[in-house]
Amino acid sequence: MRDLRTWFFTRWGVVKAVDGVSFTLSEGETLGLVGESGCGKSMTALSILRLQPRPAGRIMGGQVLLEGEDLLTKSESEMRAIRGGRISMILQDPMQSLNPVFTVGAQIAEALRIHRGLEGRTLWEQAKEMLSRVRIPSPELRLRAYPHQMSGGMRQRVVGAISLACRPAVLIADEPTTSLDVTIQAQYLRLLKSLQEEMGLALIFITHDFGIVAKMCDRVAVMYAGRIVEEAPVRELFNRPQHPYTVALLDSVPKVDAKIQRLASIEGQPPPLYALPPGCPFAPRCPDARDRCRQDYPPKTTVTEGHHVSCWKLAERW
Amino acid sequence: MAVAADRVEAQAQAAPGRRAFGQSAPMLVFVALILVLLVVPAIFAPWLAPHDPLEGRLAHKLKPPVWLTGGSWEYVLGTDPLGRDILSRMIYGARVSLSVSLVAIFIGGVVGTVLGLFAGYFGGFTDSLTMRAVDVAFSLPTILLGLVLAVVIGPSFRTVIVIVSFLLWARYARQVRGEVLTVKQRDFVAQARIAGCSHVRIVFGHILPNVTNTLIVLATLQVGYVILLEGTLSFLGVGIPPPTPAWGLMVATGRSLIVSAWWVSFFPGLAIVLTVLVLNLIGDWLRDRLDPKLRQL
Repeated sequence: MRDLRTWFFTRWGVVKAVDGVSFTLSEGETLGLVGESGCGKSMTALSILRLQPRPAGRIMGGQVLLEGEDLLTKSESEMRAIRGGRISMILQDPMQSLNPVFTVGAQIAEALRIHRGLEGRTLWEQAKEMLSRVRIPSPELRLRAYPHQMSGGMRQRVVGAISLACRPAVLIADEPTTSLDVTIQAQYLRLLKSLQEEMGLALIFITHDFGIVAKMCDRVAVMYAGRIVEEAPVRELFNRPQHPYTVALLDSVPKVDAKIQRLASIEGQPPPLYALPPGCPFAPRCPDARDRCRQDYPPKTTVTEGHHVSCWKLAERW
Repeated sequence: MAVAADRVEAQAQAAPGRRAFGQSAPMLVFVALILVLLVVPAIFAPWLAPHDPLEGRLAHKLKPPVWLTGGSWEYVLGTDPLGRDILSRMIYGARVSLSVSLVAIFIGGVVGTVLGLFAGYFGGFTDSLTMRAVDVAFSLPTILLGLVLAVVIGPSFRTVIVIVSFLLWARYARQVRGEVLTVKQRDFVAQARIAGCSHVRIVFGHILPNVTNTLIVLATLQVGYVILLEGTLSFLGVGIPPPTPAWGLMVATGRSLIVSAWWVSFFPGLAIVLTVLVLNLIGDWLRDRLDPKLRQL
């Protein structure tokens, strides 16, 4: 993905929800996308599928390359074949993302019918196989169950089964575990991980939980105000965070061994996206901000192989 | 979601032992019985009716029902001012009234639902246009419109259906649009988009099944309204042309005789009341049966 820009044209001005985001992802790799609420994580994900809210949201530029093809130049019907077929996505809330009036089986079958044209017995067999792949016990029975008869964890696994039914190349998981309780979370993450290995999935994992990032991801991209401010392999990011925002985020994770009175937090609010300051958007909250930061956006600097940061601190003339 | 959950809970508590009125076994038998009494004569009218519904014998006019003095077994429910058998006219009238209602509700319902679905789903200009049309449809005076249409096309069975469908579609459109507005916000619609469904598929395959419950309830509730409307139109001479028996028309003819010969309008009126009641009970029962959350209770 190169220099993706999704802007929203609202009555308060242009909201640059995604402003020049670039990253690459290869088969079997997991990229974590982290950042505060409203920093553009989900919008980036939706823009990849060209499902940004319309008519306000428009993709203003950039490229989304999937195996060399630019998705932004595809027609709507070509996009439909890609959605669910080659790129799939899991939404946050499993309670909401299944249709209450259909059985689980019918919903898995729908995806298979649209993208693979299966019918009758084979269709049903495939649906059953998908359920057992996501480790749902007695899949035959469960195919005929309605979503409300299942627990949250089970429903999220069903959503997973639907998303993976057509063996996509890329799976985007938008905080898939936030509404699950902790024990189920771990179980679900392990399941995703093993399915990823089985199918060679490229995974984009959107979260704000660094614990999950550490467990799941190969690389991490930290987003702030619609841009990626730091991108690094996961160990590198945890051991040597460079951008002040990343440092602050990592500091705000509570630690068991440290006795502290108050949890560290980042002072202030992210700037409103319709009125971004001219320079680095983090400057107003940054402890190290200088005049330069308030004037120009910092260039991308490579610290080590695969570790890129956009901060004046690391640029040559500070 | 929370409201739905509460309802499930309430239903779960109410489930053993006591059930809502109209859902107990004897009540269902009663409902089924009335329904059979309505539908069977309507279908087999020529074999079941004791008299010709159109043939009047003035010598036998305004005969009271059999259990009153002056009544006879020949005219079980009495006769009207033209000496026509009320029972026979009611049996034939069931045919007319029920078919007018069903056809008109079907046409109005399909048109209204489709428009409501698109208005709610796509919003924007489509929505404004449809909803303004709905406002216009609501603001047109029923009777005046009926008169105008009847003058233009001439009163007939078909005219009544056209008028009634035209008056009904707006209700469906408005109701469905409202429901769609809430349904389309839910994540499963987004998930369907992500899975590569087209808009048309989402509207008919994902959203429509979520609003059918409302549609069924609305449709059953409207049967009574349509029967009354048909009666009003017939009374004014722009509905079903007079010799044809229709319940509403029969009630209307008996209006001036309500003191001296109450049976002329009472029995067709009773038929309307029972029909509406039974259809409402069926509507409620269907709604509960169709709710997947309650299906296994």
